[in-house]
This record gives sequence, structure tokens and C-alpha cells, in this order.
Amino acid sequence: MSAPLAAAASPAARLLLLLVVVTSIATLPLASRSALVMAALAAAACVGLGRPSPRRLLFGVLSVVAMSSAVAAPALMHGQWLDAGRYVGRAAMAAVAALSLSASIGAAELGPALRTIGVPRGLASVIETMLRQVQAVQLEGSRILLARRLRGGGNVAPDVLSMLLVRTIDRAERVELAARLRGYHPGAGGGQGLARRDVPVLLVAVGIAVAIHLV
Amino acid sequence: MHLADGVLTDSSIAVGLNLLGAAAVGVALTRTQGDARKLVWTGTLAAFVLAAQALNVPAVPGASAHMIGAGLLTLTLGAGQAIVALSGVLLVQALLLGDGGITVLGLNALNLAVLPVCCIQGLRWLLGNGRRALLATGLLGTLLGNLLGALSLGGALVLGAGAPLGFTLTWLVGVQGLAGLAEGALTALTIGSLLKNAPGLLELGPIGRRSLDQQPEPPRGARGIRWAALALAVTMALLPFASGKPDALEVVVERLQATP
Repeated sequence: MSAPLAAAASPAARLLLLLVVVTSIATLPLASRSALVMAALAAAACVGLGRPSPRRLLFGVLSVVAMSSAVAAPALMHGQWLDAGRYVGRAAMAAVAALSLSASIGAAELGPALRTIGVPRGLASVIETMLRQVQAVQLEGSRILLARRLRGGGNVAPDVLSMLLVRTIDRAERVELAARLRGYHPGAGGGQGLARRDVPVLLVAVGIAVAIHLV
Repeated sequence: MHLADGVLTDSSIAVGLNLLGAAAVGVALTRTQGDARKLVWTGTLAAFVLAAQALNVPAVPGASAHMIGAGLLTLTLGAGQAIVALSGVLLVQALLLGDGGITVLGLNALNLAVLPVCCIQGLRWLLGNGRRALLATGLLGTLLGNLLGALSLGGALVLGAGAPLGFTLTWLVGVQGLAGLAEGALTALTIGSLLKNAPGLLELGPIGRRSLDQQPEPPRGARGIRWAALALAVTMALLPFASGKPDALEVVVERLQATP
């Protein structure tokens, strides 16, 4: 992972940074100009730290801008440009921070990080299993579609879906059983925990929250 | 249908709906302390829904929709596991893909997981586990669940962000109604295919533990209670629209009292 943040802190610390920064930006007081400036600086810092894919960032922010503009349409129609701009800007900055910082968290890191920050084990285990299986589901789906195309059949959606369900569950059960027989238990343990190297990142998170809401 | 961060301006609405969604997911989690096999099924079906939700299909000009997957999950896993699986999908979308807000996760869970699943489970409870009943539940439950989620999201936007009522509800309910109809038809066809090829997949839920062929008809008394509960729910839903004017009987009685 090329993001400098990934090397500097554990997945749990990166997740905490994401949660704190995005919550701070999403709840900033719209009337405060200094808070808006701080949030813009924080969002720019997040882009530098997370180094997201520009394409992903652009599409993500555009969809949020479209949604918030639709909600702000009455204010725009009444000529309240500044209020509408601040409202749309806040949503866009929260999206920039979320997309940037989420780029620094790998799929395999999310489950343990969630367990470390105290997400219920049942939910964290489901997420770990889901992220392990999602690639298998996509592979199996493309295999079924290719086989159908080679046989000259169409993509009959319900049949493909039910076949995909049966095959992926069958495969997942076999893989999980094999893993268990080798001593692996999904969701076991409480995650890696926070380390001393995470302190600067957590201080940055608190600093951003304080700068946006209290300065 | 995924609400983004910073869109809601009324903090009491945002916090209240988030807490409601989080509490419902919490209840589902405490009721699903399952075995390892259930965990594998839940995680795999959640992966299936995560992959399916990535496909956005144009619904009307200017808006697209994607499947929610609540119908398929509820009918294969049961309500509790379905809510947990859909909440997991929402969490991954918010934290890894930047799709949907982090500060409105509870609200998104309420609209996309809790309400649709409860709607489908309620319909399943009402109609039973026969082949036709399951197909009808797949179609109608998915459609109603999507509509209920869209109404709830529309309500949150109107009350919590000052969005215009008519435009918001028409747009959300219209688009999501179309998406729900398409998803409901697909869910019903998939359930039909599963009933034919792999009925065992539909037996894990809390209602359908026995084979579908051996499922006994509910006793008449139980069926009566179900219809009474439905009637009560419909009455409660219609209560806010009740007229304050006296009904016909009251008018007649008033006139009779007025005449000497």
C-alpha cells in the first residue's frame, strides 16, 4: 500500500482517525467560517495521508455533491447561495476525508481493526468472512457466466443467481472446514490492539476534532 | 439510498434515527449467537449482496438504483442474520469503499437493513412457508421493504435536512419502487429456482427449519391472530389520517338529541 499513513500506524489507529475526522467534519457548525477553513485543511491533509485513487475520489465526491445539492435546492432557489454552498461543501469535505482515509485500510485489515476498537465480535466475524468470500463470489459468478456463454445459453439471471448461491456456499463451507481443521477460528482473539507508534496518529485525530469544533 | 455524511442538519433527528437503527442491529446481534456454519452462510451471503450492490442499474433518467438483497437474505438466513449481514455490508461500504456515511450508519442500517427485513419477515409470518407464499413474500416483501426504506429516508431528509416534502418523497419512492419491483421479481424467480434445485438453502431461517413439504398449516387460531395483528397495524398506520369530523352515527345521534 503506497499511502504513508499505512506504514505509520496500525489498522485500528487508521480506522479511529477515519471515524474521528469524518465525524468532526460532518458535524461542523455551518455558520463558523474558521471551522469550514479548518475542515478544508483537514480534508486536504487526509488526501495527502491516504493517497486515494483520483478517479475513485472524483466519482465519490461528485455523487455526494449531487445528493446534497438536491437537498439544498430550495435554499439555492431562494438565492441563499452561501448557505447552500457551505452545506454542500461540508458534505463534500466529509466525503473527501472518508474516501482518502479509507484508501489506507486494506480489506484484510478491517475485521481485526473493528474488533480492536470494540465492534461486537459477531458483526466483525461476519465482515471478516464476507471480505474473504467476496472475491470467490465474483470469480464463481464470472465462471458460471462464461460456461453459459460457451454453451450458447443466455444469462438467465434467476438460474445464475441460485446456482451462484449454491456453489459459493458449498465452496465457503469446504474452505472454512479446512481452515478450522488446521486450527484457524474466524473472529478469535481481540484484534492486535493499539501500539505506541499509533500515538501520533491518534493525536492528529484529536487535534483535528479540536481545531474544527473548539478553535 | 445510502445517505452520505453531513447531509442531515438536525442533530436530534440524526442521533435519534441512528440510535434506533443501532439498537435494532444490536437486538439482531444478541439473537443470532449462532454456530460456525451459520457464520459461514451469513458471511458468504453478505459477500454475495456486497458484489450485487456494486451494480447500479439506471432506473429513471438521472437516477440509478441497485438491489438491496434483503429479500434473498431474509428468506435464506432468517431476519436476525439478515439484519447482521446487511449491516456488515453497510459497514464495509462506508469504511472501505466510501459509499454511505459513517455518521449515519445507524440510519442507513435502519433504511436498508432493519425496515426491509422486518417487512419481509412480517409478510412471511403472515403468509406462511408454502411454495406460493414464499414466492409472494419474495416479490411483495421486497417491494414493500424498498418502499418502506425509501419513505423512512425521505422522512429523515424532510425532517432532518429541510428537503422539500413532495419532491423528495415522489423521487425516492418512485425510483425505489421501480427498483423494488425489479428486485422483487428477481428475488421471487431466484427463490423459485432455489425451491426447485436447493430447497435446503431456504430451511435455515427460524421459521422454515423443517422441510418445506412437511411444513404443517398453521392452526386456525394462530392464523386469526396474524390477521388481527395485521388489521391492528393497518389501523395504527391510518390513524394519523383520521378525520376530526364526527362520523355518520355521531351526526345522527346529535340530530336526534337536538330534536325535541
